[in-house]
Amino acid sequence: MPKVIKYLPELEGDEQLNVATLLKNMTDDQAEQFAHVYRTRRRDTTTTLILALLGLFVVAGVHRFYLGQVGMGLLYLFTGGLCLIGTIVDLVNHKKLTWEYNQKQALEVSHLILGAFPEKPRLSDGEDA
Amino acid sequence: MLAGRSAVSRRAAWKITFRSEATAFISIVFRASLSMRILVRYSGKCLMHVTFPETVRTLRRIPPEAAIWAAGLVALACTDPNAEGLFGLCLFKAMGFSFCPGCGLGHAVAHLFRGDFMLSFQAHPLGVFAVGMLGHRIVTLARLAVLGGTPAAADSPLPN
Repeated sequence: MPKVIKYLPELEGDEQLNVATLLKNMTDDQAEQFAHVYRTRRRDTTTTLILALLGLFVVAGVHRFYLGQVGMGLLYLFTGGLCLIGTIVDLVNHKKLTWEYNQKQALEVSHLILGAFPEKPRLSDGEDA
Repeated sequence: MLAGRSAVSRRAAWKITFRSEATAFISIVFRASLSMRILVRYSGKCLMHVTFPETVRTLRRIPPEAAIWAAGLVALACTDPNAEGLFGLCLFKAMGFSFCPGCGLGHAVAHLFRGDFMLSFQAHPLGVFAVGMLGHRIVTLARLAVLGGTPAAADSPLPN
């Protein structure tokens, strides 16, 4: 938990817990790298909501594209958000949709970081101390 | 047999019995006793015996989005596309707009479940695409709910 608060203080709730579990196995350097990459990748709940709201007035499905769901985005685009019903479902469900995306990204980023910046051998720990 | 079973379940019990493949029986007994239980019986043997809180816990894990899409597809599969004036679901029409890009999609899907590809395409060209996408989405969400998106549950190649 302390690492999340230190490196990604803006997270809350489920997302915070999820990232905390991922950061538990990381060193401070890795956690910092994770924070950089995850910040660029994660999607904002409010933005999803605003894009979904566009579906009521302008064009539907932008929020699905924003969350990387191209197929659903196209379906919404060409059917007016399934006659507005899909748009309304997503307005209600926007938090869960964003959370689903962020969860996936967090897992991917953690694999990336642990692969790219492997933990230093014990020797360096000894030097620090 | 019936009397015996109702004696077992002390209170009022709803019983749904399916006949499957002529010989075997699957029966689901909802027992309304102190702790509500659900029993699934298959030719006399008890296959599943879950208590009410367990059931609620399981149901709460179903993602609502998947449930909505699945309910929609099932509802459309059950409706007769040739009956007139069934679908009053379009909200554009409800608000007084004459044009809606999604109208006909319900008919298209309903035709598709009956195997009429031509009629389906005429009703809405995206019928097949819609069923495919919604099916894909349901599977994705179901897998996520079953496997769990948490890193502990997923078999992650974390070098530890």
